[in-house]
Amino acid sequence: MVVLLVSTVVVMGVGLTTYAVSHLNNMRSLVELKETLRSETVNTVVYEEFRNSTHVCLGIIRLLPEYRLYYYFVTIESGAKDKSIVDVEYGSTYVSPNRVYVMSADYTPMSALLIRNIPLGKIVFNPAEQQPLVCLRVQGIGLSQGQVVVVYFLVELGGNFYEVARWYI
Amino acid sequence: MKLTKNFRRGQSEIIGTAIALSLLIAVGLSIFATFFRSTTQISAGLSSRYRFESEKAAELRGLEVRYGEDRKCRLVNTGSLDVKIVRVWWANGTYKDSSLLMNPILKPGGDDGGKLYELGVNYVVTSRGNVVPIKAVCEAKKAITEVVVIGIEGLSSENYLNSSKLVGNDLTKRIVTNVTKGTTTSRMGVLYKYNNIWYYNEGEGWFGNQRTTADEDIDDNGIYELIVVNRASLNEQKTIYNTSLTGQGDVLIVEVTFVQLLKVLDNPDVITVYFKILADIGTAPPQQVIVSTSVTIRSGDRSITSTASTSSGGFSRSREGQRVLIIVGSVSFPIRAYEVLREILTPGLYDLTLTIRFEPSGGKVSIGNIRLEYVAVAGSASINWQP
Repeated sequence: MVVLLVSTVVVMGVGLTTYAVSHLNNMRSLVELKETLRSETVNTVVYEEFRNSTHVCLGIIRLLPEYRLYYYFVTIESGAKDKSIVDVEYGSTYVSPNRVYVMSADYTPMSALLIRNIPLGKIVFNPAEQQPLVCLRVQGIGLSQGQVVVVYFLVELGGNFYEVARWYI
Repeated sequence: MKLTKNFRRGQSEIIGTAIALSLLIAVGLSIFATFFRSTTQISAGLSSRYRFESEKAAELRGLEVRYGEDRKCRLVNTGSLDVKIVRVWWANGTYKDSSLLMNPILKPGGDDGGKLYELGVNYVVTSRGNVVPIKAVCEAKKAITEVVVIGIEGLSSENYLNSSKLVGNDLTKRIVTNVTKGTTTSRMGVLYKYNNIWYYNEGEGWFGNQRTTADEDIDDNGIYELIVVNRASLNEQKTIYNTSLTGQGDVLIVEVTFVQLLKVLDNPDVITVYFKILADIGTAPPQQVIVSTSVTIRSGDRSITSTASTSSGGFSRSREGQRVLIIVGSVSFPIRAYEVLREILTPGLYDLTLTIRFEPSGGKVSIGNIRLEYVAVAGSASINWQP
C-alpha cells in the first residue's frame, strides 16, 4: 500500500515537474521573442523623406548599429479589420499570411484578416552605409473615402515575420 | 522500534517537502529572473530611443536656413550637435548622397557655404531623419529680405511695376523721358536689363539687344534699375546721361512718363504712388543737392499733380569713387475726399509721370546716372501693364 502511494506521488511529482519545466521554457521563449520584438521596435525609426504627386519615399534608421534585413508590405485600410494588400513593385517574395504578424493589442497573424499570400519587399540597413530608402509609387492607388495606405515594416524571427514599425501615407 | 519507524517516515516527508519547495523556488526565481532581465532590457532600449528622439528634435531646432547680404542661402548648424547630411533631394524626385557634393558633416556653428542652394537642392536629409526644405525656406526668407530692402510694408508684388511688368517686347509699354536744363528740354531714353538683355525705350516701346557699359544695379541690392540714358539710334551703344549744375538757381528737371500705366478702379478712394530714385552726385555730400519730386496722373487734358513726401540718404561706392543719392518717396491722391479729384480721376487708364527736380544748395555739382528702382501703386488704382 505504502509503495503504491509513494510510487503515485513520485510519478505525479515527476510529471508535474516536467510540465512546469516545459511551461517555463515556453514562457521563457515567448518572453524572449517579445523582448526581441520590443527591442527591434524601439530601435527602428521610420520617417518620411520625400513626397511628390507620384511617389512617397520613407527612410529607415536603426538605432543599434547592426546589419538588419527588414521586410515590408503595403495595405489599403479603412479600419483595423479591413485591410487589402497593395502589391509592392519589385523584389518581393510571397509568404503565407499565417507567418506574418502585425500589432494590434498583441501580435496577430495576418491570416485572421487575409487569405492570400503577402508580397514582401526587402530593405537592408547597413550601418556602414547611409540609411536606406523605400520608395513607393502612390499614383494610381485608388482610395475611397476613409481609406489610408499603410506600410508595415517587419523583421524575420524563427521563420515568421513580425511588425516592428508602420507608416500611414 | 516503533519510534524509529515513525521518525523515518517523518524524515522522508521533510525531505520530500524540501525537494518540492526547492523546485518551486527554482521555478519562481527563474520566472522572476526572466521578467527582470526583460524589463531591464526594455528600459535600456526605451532610454536609447528617448535619447535619439531628443537629439533629433535638438538637431532640427539648431538647423537654420539663412539668407545673407551676399544673396546666398546657407544651411547653418546653430545647435550643439554635429549634423550629418546623408542625402539631398531635388523637386523632380532625384536624390544624391550628400558626400558626393560636399563635406556632409556640419559642425556646431558651421554652414554649407551656400553650396546646397547653389545646386538647387530642395530638401536636405540628416542622419537623424530630419528633412529640411532648404529651398522653400530660402525663397521665403529671400522674399522677406527683398521687401525689407524695398522698404514698403503692406504692398504685394501685384502693386509693383516690376521687371516682367515693366519690360516686354511689345511696343505698347511706352516710357517718355524728358530732361529740362535751364530753358532747354531734351528727349532722353531709358535702359533696363532683363533676363540678361538690355532693353531701350525712348517713348515708342521697348527694343531689346542693346549695347551699353552701364551697371544694372548701382546700389547692389539685386534689383535692377531703370536708367536715364542719352537718346541714340537702336544700333548705337547707349550712354548714361550726365550733366553738371553750376550752383543755386541752376535746375535740372527729369520727367519720366509711363504711358497708360495706371488703371483707376470704380468708385476710387485714395491712390498712393511709391517710388525709389537713385542718382550719382559725384563727390558732393547729399545735403548739397536739393531734390524735390512730384507725381502727375494724366489722361488727355485731365491731369492732377501732387508733390511727394520724400526721405533721402546716400552712400559712397568706394571702388567707383562716386556718391549715390537715394530718394524714397510717396504721393497720395485722396480722390473721394475732394470733388475736384473725383471729377478728374474717373475710372479708366492714365499716364503716370514722375518728376524729379535737382538744384544745388551751394557750389557746382555733377549729376548723372539717374535711375528709378521701383514704382508701386496702392489703393484705388492698379498697374495696367501686364507681364
